[in-house]
Amino acid sequence: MDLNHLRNEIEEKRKMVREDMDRYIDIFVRSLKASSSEVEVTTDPEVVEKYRRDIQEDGGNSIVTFADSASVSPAILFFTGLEQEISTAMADHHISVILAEDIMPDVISAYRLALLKSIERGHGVIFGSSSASKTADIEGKLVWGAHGPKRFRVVVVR
Amino acid sequence: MGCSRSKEIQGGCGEVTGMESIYTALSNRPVRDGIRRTRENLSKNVKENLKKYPFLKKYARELRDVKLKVINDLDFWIDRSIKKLEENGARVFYARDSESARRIVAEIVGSGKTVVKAKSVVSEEIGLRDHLEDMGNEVWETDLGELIVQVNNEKPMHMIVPALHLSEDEVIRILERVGIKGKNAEECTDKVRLFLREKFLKADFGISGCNAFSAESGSIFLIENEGNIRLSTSVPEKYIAIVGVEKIVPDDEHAIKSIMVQSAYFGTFPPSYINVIRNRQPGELCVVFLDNGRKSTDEILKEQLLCVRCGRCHLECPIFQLTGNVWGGETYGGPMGMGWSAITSGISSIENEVFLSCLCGKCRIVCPMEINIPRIILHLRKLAVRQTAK
Amino acid sequence: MFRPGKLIELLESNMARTGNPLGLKRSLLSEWLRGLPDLKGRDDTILFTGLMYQLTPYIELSTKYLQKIENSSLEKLFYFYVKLSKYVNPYRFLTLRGSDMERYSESLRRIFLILKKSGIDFTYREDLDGYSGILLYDLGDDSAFSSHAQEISDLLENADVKKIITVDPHTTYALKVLYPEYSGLKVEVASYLEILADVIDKGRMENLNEVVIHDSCYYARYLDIIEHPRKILENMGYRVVEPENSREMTSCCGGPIESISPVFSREIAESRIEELSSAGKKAVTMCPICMGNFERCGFSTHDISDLIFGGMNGSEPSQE
Ligand code: SF4
Repeated sequence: MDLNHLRNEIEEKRKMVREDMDRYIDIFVRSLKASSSEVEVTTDPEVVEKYRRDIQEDGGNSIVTFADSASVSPAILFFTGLEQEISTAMADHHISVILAEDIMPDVISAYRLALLKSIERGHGVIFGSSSASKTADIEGKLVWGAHGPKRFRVVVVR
Repeated sequence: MGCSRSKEIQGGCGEVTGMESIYTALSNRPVRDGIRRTRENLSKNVKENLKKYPFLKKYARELRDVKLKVINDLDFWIDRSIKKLEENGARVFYARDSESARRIVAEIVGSGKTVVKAKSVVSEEIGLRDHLEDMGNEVWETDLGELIVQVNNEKPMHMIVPALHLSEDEVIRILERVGIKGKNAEECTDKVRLFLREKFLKADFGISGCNAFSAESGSIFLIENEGNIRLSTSVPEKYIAIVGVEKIVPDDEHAIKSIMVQSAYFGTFPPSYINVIRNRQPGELCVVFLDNGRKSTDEILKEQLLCVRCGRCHLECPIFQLTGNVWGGETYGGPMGMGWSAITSGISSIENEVFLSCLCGKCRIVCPMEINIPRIILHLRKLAVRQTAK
Repeated sequence: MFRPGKLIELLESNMARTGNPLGLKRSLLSEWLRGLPDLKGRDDTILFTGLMYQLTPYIELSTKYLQKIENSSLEKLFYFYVKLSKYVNPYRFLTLRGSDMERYSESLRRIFLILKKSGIDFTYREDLDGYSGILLYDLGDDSAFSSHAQEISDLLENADVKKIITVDPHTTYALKVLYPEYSGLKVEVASYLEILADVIDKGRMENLNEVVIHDSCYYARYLDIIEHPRKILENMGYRVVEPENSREMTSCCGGPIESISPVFSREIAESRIEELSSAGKKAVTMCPICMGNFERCGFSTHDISDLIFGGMNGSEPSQE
């Protein structure tokens, strides 16, 4: 895999999104809401610390992670690393922070950005989440929180 | 004209036996109701997905061409995939048939172990769960629907929605047998979550199938909504993936396209979770490639290998709507199940079933890979008739 | 489920004896010609019925009997009957009500008259008409189908036929798609609906009625004949209502497996009937097999020819 080529490709996409950021974020937020996820857009970089503190006080089984990339529509957030995968899969509440500059115009480039980061970090797994865990296996009834997080919350930092 | 055959033709080939079960299925209302309910929900979603994301149709068409290329040159792509995996540090195996696949996995697992399984049709195909249990292992299906079907000791009624034929009340009663006590779907789901959490944590092995495999990076791509695949493939120290060789696509881009198409045409899009596994450090990744008839199909049957297993053709088929997975071979039922059963178990496994189709052709219209399923069914009829005429 | 091999055996033996899959006397299949004006016209263009309309009432009749013995020990009776069919005409034992036959004859007569009225120049010759063999093909009996196709193709080509007009989807598919492949037939083939769609003009009658359209699987999915019937009906002043699942998504009537499993065939018909009847009161079909199978399951439809004919004559077809 030609990493430089990959980097250039991603830079191109980044530029594309940057030029029309408001619209992209708007679509991203709507897409997440369509999957019943909670979303918040903020310019305050301290917000992550705030969530970390909340979680500690709360004592519940929640986790805050940084997403490595995301596609705008359908909105899917990508992450890398086995350890992080296990801890997010086990959490009841997954709060995920995504930097606006890591939002990509399509699923394939979002995947590629995560792939690039995974290679740079030596991570062997990439995983994507678009909503809380769900099932409709019992009589077609939709139930949230099958095996994974019951809540999925996304914080977009501009 | 005509009656040149002196020998009397018996049945499609032989007696029509083993078809009693389709009449039992026919009088089993819940099967029908469950399929109807599932179809009504999902068909609407599929239509909306395709409208909202027009790129999906483009992906599907492109994927058909790419998969065709791979299928026409399977040896090359299998070779390349194996090399890449070995480079990544995985243990790679190749199984010619289901028996050798079972043997390989059994050797890796040994006995006295706990195994958590993601729902995987290919593992049904090779009869893996029973085999591992016979070897003295504790094996748990972790997909909710599949677990219900496992506990109830029956066959999944649909590839993706295994328990669609069971009512909430029935599920409550079934789960009680393993000590899971819930009063409704929500409670049952929650109790199953706790029940299986414990299994995930103590499991020695996780086993899954594969939705798409990228030869470029040697990665296994899996999609799901529940999160059980994520847990099965990450928590146990050792992870085994069973990959039908037709799942190979040249690169990551097409693997992503394949899982997008599969989930959109099934009706849940985007999938809640995507899992891509390139290596498992710490831990161990074992990959078993499975041939089991895939490499030796004839030209017409070959088209079935393009299948992304979205389950669309099942729900839209007038016969499947009445019988569920009972109409088909051991593992594969419904329209795609005719071709798949012939590929993996030989034509005798569905020699009568193929005659029940209306050839109405709806499966071909709804299939994202535009597989000419009626042509495959007709082809199998011809083979069945020719076999008896000999 | 009846043994496919036995069905094939029956078909082959009937066809060897009479040229049609049910072993019916030729005269029965020519009933519909009664009262028609001159059958002659331009002799390189022929109307080819494929006998499907004529056979349907008999198929339905036998299906009614078969349905009673399916999946029981009495299935053996049918296999006994298959043996017998080599020597005697089984329809000696089954009688068809005149009115059941008449419906299908009437549709054929109307197709003939509509085409003439629309200025299509063609000939009907009994000796050039025949069964297409499509059931043999559907059952996977390729060798019998292919020799039958050859026979019919030779007949048509020796008579210097240049254009064939078909009247039902199954025969259309056989002649248009399969014959060129199996027996090298080079004659142009068109369903009468394709022909009429080009010649029937707009605005003969207004507000005749609403009709729920049931597309045939073969027309809609195998032959792409979807717009033609709609255009014709609309130009005749009908308001075409689309049921749930129409056009290329049309649901099967169950007819194609009525000989393999009357029971399954019926279940499938019933779910389609539900879709059609919840869309409106009056349904239109364009295939005798669809019409026959619905009829067997207690649901009356109008053949499209009856509606066109009614429209042309400024009257609704009778609601039988
Ligand atoms: S045959 Fe087509 S519709 Fe059926 S499961 Fe496979 S891809 Fe889906």
